[in-house]
Amino acid sequence: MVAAPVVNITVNGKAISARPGQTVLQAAADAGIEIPALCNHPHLRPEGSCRVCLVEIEKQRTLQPACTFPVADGMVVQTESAKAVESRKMVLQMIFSERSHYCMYCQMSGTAQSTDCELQKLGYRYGLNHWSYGPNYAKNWPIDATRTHFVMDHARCILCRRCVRACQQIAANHTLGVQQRGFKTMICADDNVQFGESSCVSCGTCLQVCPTGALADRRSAYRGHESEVTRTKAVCLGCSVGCGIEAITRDNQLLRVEGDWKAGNEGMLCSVGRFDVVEPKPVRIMWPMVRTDGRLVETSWDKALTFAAGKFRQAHRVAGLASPRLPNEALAAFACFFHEVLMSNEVGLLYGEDPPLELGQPAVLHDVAASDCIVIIAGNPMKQQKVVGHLIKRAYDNDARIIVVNDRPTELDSYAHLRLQLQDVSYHGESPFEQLKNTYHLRGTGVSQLKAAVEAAQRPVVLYGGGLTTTVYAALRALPAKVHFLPLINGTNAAGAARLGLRPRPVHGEALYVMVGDDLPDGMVLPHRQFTLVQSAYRSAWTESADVVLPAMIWAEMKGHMINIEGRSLPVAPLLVAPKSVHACWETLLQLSMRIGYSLSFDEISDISKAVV
Amino acid sequence: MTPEELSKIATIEQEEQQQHKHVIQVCVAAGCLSSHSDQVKDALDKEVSKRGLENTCHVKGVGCLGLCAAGPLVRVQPTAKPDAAVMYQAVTANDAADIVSSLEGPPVKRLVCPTNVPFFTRQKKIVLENSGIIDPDRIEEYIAVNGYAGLLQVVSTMRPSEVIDEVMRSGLRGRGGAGFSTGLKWSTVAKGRGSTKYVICNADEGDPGAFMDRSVLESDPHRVLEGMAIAAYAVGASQGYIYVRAEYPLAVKRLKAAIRQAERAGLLGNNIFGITFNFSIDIRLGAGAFVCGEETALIASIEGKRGTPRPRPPYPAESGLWGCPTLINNVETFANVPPIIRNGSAWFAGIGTEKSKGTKVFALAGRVTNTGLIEVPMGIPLREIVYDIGGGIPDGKKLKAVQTGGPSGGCIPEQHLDMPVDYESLAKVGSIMGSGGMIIMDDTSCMVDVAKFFMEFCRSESCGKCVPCRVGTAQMHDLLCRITDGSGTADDLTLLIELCDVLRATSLCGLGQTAPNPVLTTLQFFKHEYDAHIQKKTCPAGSCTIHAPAEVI
Amino acid sequence: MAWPAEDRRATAVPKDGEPPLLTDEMKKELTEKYFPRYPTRRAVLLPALHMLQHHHGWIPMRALAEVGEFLGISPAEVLDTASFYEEYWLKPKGKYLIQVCRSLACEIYGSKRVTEQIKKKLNVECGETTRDGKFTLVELECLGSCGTAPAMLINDVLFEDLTPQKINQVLDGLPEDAHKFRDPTVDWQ
Repeated sequence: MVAAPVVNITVNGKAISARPGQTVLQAAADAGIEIPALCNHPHLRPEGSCRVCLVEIEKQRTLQPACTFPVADGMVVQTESAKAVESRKMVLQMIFSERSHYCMYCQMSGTAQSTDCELQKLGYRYGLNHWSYGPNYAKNWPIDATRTHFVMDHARCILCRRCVRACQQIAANHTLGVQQRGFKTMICADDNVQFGESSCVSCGTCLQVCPTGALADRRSAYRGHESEVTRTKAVCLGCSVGCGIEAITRDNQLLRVEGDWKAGNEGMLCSVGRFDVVEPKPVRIMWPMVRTDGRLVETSWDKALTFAAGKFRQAHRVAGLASPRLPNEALAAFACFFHEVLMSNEVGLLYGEDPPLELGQPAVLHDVAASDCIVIIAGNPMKQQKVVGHLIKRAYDNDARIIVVNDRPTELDSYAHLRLQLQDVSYHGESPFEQLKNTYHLRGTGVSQLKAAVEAAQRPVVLYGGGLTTTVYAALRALPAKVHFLPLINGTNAAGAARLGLRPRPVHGEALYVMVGDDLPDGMVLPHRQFTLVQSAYRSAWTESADVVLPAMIWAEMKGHMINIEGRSLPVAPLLVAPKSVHACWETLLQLSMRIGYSLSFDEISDISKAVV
Repeated sequence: MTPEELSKIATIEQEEQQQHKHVIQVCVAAGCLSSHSDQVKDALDKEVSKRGLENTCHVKGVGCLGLCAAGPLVRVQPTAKPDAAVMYQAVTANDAADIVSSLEGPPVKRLVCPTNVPFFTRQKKIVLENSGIIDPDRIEEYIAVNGYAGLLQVVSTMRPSEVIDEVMRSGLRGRGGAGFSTGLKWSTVAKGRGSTKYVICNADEGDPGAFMDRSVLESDPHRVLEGMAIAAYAVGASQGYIYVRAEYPLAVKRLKAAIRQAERAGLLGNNIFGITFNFSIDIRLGAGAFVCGEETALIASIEGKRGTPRPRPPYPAESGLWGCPTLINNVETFANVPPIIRNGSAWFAGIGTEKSKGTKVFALAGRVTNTGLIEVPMGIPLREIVYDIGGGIPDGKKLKAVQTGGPSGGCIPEQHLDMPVDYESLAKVGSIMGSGGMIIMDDTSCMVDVAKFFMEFCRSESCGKCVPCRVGTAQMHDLLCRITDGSGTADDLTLLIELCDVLRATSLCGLGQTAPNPVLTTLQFFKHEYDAHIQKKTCPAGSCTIHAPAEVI
Repeated sequence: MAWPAEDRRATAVPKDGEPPLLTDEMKKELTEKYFPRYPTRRAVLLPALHMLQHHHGWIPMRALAEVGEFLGISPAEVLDTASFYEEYWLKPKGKYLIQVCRSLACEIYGSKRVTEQIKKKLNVECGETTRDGKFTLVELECLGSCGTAPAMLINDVLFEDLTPQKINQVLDGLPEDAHKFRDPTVDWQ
């Protein structure tokens, strides 16, 4: 193998090996030299507009923007020469003077050490304590407060267009744009409507890339600088995509969630993962409750567990339902508890859908964004796996062909180059005649169209939902080997549950144990039984119908693993400490098993959950 | 179209022209047209047919005759003796009878516009050689004066690399402003990767005071098409676009007609002159944005986006329109190409100065007697343009400055009037060649006000992408407003100079980088006018309204 | 705090159910004449906007939305482009658009006096439309008529060598029906 060629450059007197095609800024960053920049963002295409990253490059007549200038062998760069620093200071002054940057009112503002504002940080770094230009704050810059989760203050906007580019390049939602030109330039949503009425889907990517306080998160604003909060990498348990997140916590409170740039979702999140998790929740259940005289009354763990154990012992058969939001460890303990302690096979999932996994080569999230032909069969990723939906739209922007096969309308229909019905890609038919028709006509067009599109592509990806006939799956299996497959699983950890044998199914027994964790009914009603135990973090319609209610941890308190749509096992790390009276699920199950008379050991549970991974 | 067909068209056309004893050329370029030269032409037509002279006298509309201030212009030329042509100025429809009557006798004295004056004799016409001679709406007339012979020569006898060498040897430099070597640009595009390449003609002439490109397009559109086709052959492109200002409706109309004719004649389209060379041209209308004259902004505009420039590299020659290698030249640059091919690079290189070859078309405007379009050899002293060709300053006023290069250029004072007009000399005094606008100002013009005027222009035309241009032009405009209304201070002046340096050093594109030029040159040569506004609260030219009272000491 | 920015849709969009502003004929012309010339649909945005403006005299917000839908571009991106260019009118304008050149050559020859005269005569400021909706006055950059300055455009027709007296003459001579006022030399199609 030939080693990749190396471009040797010198930055501030230090010799650096860069890769061809890198910009000066990237090469310097790799070598640990930070070149200040405001419009540049490592995950957005550079545009060289803020002029803060201007550096001196030997043999170049003028200063050049490091963020767009490509490295060349023998290049000599000075990032902090007198000339570069002088112009950088002037440019910073200009930015400060353009709109009313009244730092003291801004949630990002802080000291030289604590400020979260990239502009203010540079102001400190270059010793700016005033600007000489005429102030321009006489103008009444508008504030758009019409969105639920965040606010746009145009006075703090420096027109770096990071938000616009994020909306186009990362979310592929194209809501944000720029209107007018020159000194009248302003960021706008759609055709200059209020942000709250726009096509914005609250993915919040713009918020995450904004260098100043122009886009402010309503919940976490003024609740702590970066230096005062804890940032923990974790996994979002909102759906089966399992997006990488960075949770921002302080004083055992979750303030904000950001997308992890290094994870498969590449920084992108949906409104569920970014905002809904910090929204106010129903009343938290802190202590066990037992129904007494028709009312749920708080009681001690011991009393509640003993009472429940008695009911389970009496029951002829106990049924169990678990939420697919629970990590493998909790699900394993639950399954084990039923099989070993209650000797019952009546255990399943509350809901969920897990399509078969072995149709061909598995795809990872990045394959979707980089694909040039995407087939979506059943499922509705724009609703159920939103981040995947945005990755599809991103691929569409890069000229990928989109084929939607579904009997129902989906949000992606308007993007589809080809729209087919499920029966078009099926070998199946109700009568021999139907079968014949499908085989020779409809199938002929549908399957061959699908095949032709996939064959013409270089990086085809098939996304498929569950509940399809075996004949459709058969048709998919027959596609060329270069196709990568991604199952559109419903239920966060339904894949992990499936490996434990837990699937959504009707369960039988006069007693019912429902382990919901922090899940909420969303209209779903539990089957009626003689005795029902619900273990839940929040009060809900489920707990109101229960005979015994046990507290449970919420997602941010749990520890364990989940398996996402890529089939990867992702660690679920505790971000918050649970209230003292709330225990992990396996702990409750151990206690319960002891009271039933069969002592389940911790090792047994951990063996099972390890086997899942 | 075969070579034989081309020469046949030329011969037929020439013979037809010989049949007429006289040809009456009526300028129908925008300047004369707005003073109703179309009515003059109609009247002449009627007069000729009334007298039954259709077979001996041919009335035709032609492009710009140059002296726009004296329009409508009419030129009467005896076919046998072209040199004995007579030019009439300020002609009206009522004069038609007199003009036709005088064909065989002495000219109509009251209308005669003398042509033995420096305005005509000092010019050297290459780009404008057909302007005012041929009917721009007829391809045959262009072919009759050797039109498309350059293209024929190129595709039938030269390899693309030879064409580029020829252009390189001619020393032709871009006429759009910066003066980059045309040959070098062509060779970069020719070397560019990929099979799809584009040729773009930049006709987004936006400099205030410049109308050379408009005139060339209105008077001789085929010359530009031929230049583009030669370039396309040289660099290997098959699609061309002409990006033209929508404010030039007549130029657009003539271009459209010319493209249709050339396509019908097989001079554009597929298999031009029977070889496997395909080239078609489409017109693209601008929409009122000066910055689209910048090549990367122009490309963005063709792509259907806002016309904002992007940092270079990569240069459009490597990665331009839709990421393909793209050649962008200005109208006048392309118009120079056919004569270079026909007459050879040595001929062209023999005109002009050592580093600035050929001629340059200037739009002479402002306080000068002869306003209009002129073409002069590079290196001609500025004084000659103003006083000989331009006829000096009217109303007994005194020359104060010559503004060249539009908002990117500068104001050249009287003391530099003897400098030669070429790229390097203009740069030396802080101005630029630009696209060729030349505005003469007398002592009634306030230089601070002129600087403010251009800064206002830059402020409203700034695309707003990069910080220095967006914020800096607005700040500089504010400062200049303060100075002109008498509330400026010495600190303001310091700040103004500081901003000039920053904009120059840090702006993304040429618009911002050169926006300080009008301020810098007026500061350099007319500092006393700034001082008068700031210290004495007076405007020496008397054109600014000073609000603040003089400071009491 | 309330949102003080104008909501353009409310001011511009006629009621639902009205015929599309981007008519089928326009779509046909764009499809047949313009799509083949460019490798992307986005490139047809400027010609489409020119077409709408020519047809309606200005470009209502609803038309922007229709163009976006037709070309597969988001409303934000259509506005992004449309609001950048000075030539596109996103607000209604008068039957007669008077554009006075404010360029240096014209200024030297008194374009300010010309503008003042028009303002006085029509009782409008620059950028405004007369109450009867007949005239809109704006200043614009160089018309390239510096040799015969000062100059102005009324719709597509160029007037040069202007004086305040000449302004009265020109404005008084305009026909009531603006469609009858066309430069015979100009052909937009």
